[in-house]
Amino acid sequence: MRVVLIIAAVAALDAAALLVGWWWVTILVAALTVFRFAGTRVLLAVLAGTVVAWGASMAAQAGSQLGAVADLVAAMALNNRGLGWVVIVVSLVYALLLALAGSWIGGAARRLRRTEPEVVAEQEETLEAQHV
Amino acid sequence: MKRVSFRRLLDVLGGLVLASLVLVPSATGLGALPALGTALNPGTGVWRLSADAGTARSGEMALPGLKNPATVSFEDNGIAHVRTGDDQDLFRVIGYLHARFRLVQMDLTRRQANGTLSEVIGAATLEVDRFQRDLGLRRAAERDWAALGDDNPAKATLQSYSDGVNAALRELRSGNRMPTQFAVLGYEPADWSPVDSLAVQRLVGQKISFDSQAPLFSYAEKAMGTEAFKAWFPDVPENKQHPYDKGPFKKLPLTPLPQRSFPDPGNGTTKASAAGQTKPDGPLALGAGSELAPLLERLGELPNSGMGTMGHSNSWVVSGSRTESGKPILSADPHLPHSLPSIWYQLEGRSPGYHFSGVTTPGLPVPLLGKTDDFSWGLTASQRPTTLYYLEKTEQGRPDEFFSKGSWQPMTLLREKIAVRGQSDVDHTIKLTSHGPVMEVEGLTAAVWWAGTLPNDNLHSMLKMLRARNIQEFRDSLSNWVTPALNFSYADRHGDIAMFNAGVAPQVDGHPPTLPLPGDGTAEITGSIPFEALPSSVNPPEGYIVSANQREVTGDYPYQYSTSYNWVLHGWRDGEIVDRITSAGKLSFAETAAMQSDWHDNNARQLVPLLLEALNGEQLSGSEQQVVDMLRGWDFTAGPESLAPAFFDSFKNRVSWVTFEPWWKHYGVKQNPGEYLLPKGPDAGAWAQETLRGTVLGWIQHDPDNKYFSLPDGTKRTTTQVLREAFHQSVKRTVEKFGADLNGWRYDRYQRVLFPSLLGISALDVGPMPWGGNPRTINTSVGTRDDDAGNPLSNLSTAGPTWRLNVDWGTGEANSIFPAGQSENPMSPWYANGVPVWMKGQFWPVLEGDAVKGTSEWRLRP
Repeated sequence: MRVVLIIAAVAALDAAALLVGWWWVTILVAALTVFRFAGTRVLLAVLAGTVVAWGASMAAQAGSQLGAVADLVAAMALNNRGLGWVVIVVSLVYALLLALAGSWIGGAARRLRRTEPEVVAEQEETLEAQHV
Repeated sequence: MKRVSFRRLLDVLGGLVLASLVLVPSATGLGALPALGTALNPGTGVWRLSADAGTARSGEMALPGLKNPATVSFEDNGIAHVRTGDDQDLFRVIGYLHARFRLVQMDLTRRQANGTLSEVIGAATLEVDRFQRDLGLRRAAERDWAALGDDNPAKATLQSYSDGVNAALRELRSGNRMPTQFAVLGYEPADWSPVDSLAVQRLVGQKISFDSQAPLFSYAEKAMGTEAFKAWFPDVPENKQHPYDKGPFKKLPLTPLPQRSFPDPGNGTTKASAAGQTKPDGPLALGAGSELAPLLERLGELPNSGMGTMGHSNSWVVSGSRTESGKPILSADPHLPHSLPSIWYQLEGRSPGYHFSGVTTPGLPVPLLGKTDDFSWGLTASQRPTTLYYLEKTEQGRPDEFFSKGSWQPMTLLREKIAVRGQSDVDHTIKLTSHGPVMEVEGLTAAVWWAGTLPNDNLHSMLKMLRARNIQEFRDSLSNWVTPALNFSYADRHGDIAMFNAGVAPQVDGHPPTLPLPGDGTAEITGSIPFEALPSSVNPPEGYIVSANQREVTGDYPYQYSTSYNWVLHGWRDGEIVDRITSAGKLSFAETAAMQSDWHDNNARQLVPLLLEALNGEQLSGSEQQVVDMLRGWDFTAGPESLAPAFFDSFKNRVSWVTFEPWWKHYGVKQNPGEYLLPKGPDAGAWAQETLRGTVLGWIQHDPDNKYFSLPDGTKRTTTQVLREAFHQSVKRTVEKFGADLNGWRYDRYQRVLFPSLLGISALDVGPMPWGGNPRTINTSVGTRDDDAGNPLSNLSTAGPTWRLNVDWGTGEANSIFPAGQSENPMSPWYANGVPVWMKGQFWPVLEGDAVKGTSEWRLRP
């Protein structure tokens, strides 16, 4: 359940920020989430939420013309209208890189400040999370 | 414990490294790579393309600076209709409109004019920037803006226009709605200024009047000697001419030219002024620029439009005595390189003091062609010398001096820094003599005197013209026109028709201004032809006036004027237009408009009968007989379905080749560095060919014994022999190229038209598509592109009629079309919606007032 909530929260925050062009919020949200919640599933949830936010925002902006916009950008950047799919893939991979970078920083910060008991607690938390 | 801390340190470090790797290109870009965060984010990046591509949604919006509420109605084709309650509001709204639909075009145009393209594109445009800075459009614009008096209406107009552009810029910035092309290019445009408009105005002039004919043809003149050169390249072309002013001419005293002053030579280190026009932060200062994206590379090809390589146009006016409606009809179609978006943005403007419909150029506040309530007007370029080349005497030991009037003079040196994307700034020194900037053109280093940078107040002239009520006021408004040299066609509601030539016409004592001049003070400009003595025609008895870039006057014109090699057109289009007008009965509006799509080749109309006559009695092969039969049935149309152009394309060139090629070898005429003075082969076109085609036709018709038909070694040849030889060669070559079956010779199998994107991105082009026409047809098709080896691409039309206008003052009908659209956004339905209509020879009606059926409306409030 927590994973789903994280996905939804990350997606909502990212999407809201993207409405006004705040792409850097993707890093921030990922960092804060991973700082607060540890574990592989959390990381995957952050990545999933990011993709949902970016994908949905792209679709919302371009509407039914998502492919056409991608083709046009490919024309401008690569001089090849047929490579629109590359533009979509690059955009999503770029979003994932932002989230990964944020997650890494968040995780590192979390690990940096933790104490031994916290490690144990974290391990317990992680185990707990895996049973959610 | 220590090991754990080190691992954690590495952990944090790794996170920071990854974050940096992502953040740096995200925020600032790298080299040619734009800032990815700005470019790719869905909210404000490229994914907004379709959202911004809308036509124009109705709604109310604020336009700061407006004195009264205003409206803009849009037809479903994108044509805009502006209504304001104040004259300055009108120009403010036009600026706003231009910026909303053509901001990328405006910024690139301004950068080209100012010589600042490299700042956003990179080293690919460095030479263009150097060239433009040498030429000095920006310097001239700054000078003229400073000289505008507060009481000059042009000043307020330019300011209002800039305010409108900047209002749109602020709106787009604050709403994160800058055109996506800027996100891809990785910069944002700076505010617009009146000086930008004046620089763009000069760039438009440069595209149609800056030429390199003098140094180009000097290669022939030097090798051949004056006598032979004049025989081949006479002042008045040898073939039949149709000057609209046949005299008698007045020899009036010359008028002084506007005086241009350059920065103080003593200063010497004048730094470039604020020509940057971009935000200094961002990707421009970053990156190695090692690999340019295709977009940037293509943009690097923009300089082609910096030289006047294509300035043809048609315009004719027919008086009521020749029209069905009993009132004049005006037709005009300016020929320029095609582009998407077009050079034109069409609109109707209405305010208390103005009412016009016509085409504006984004960057300029007024229409350049169109109609008012009282008259309609068109433009054609007057191809007379306004670019003069002075060969300055210099010495190695005096690198910054030139010898003039008996002594060494210091050059004025202007030192500028050119910002180049992806690398450090480049120093550039502009050298000025008393004649102009020292430049290298066609392998010749010369000081270039170009009328385009003379002080001018043309915008004031245009504003006066737009308020003219009759032919006298129209003429008066042009009396101070400086440059470019143009023919203004005119037809009005009162029944008057006219054509006025305007612009300075420099005169040089004792030297032809059409060839390079000595810079030692012996060939100074003594003045200009006075406006009163420039070519003109008012209500001529024949009932029509035609301008198609032909020489406007007869050979007895008492001033230095255009020559057959000074870029003038040779009578093909005007000949055809005159034939059409004089052979028709009463011309209807529809017939006149249809003439603009005419594909008859006047050169073929005159030359083919001479060929057929020469072939009488000649032994012909089967293929040759087929060609003769085809030619006998040819109506001289170079339409898409025609077969004969396949043959004639070769033949017209071979006639000149067979005649002249032995002679230019004999004279040792050298090719210019760009290799387009002389044809590279018997079927190739070249600048010299354009003139020689008329020369050889005139000789065949009127001087068949001309010595140049014979060979340099004395071998006698007749015109019949020349025509026959050219015929045999052309048939052989055409069969080799297209096959023996004449059905394979259809013109549209190889003739194409292309509407290239302004950004030079082929994926955004429209075309190439099967097409017809050639440079000699009224519906002109001209190729302006080279292949990878630098050879002109034949049969790919990339220039032609960029707008067509017809106005009938009897029926009140008016129509127009341009092969592009109102929006520069490739996703907009208004990006290229005019192309199919234009290709079919159809039009959009020019609607005004209550006839406008707006599909959306902007209500603008102060």
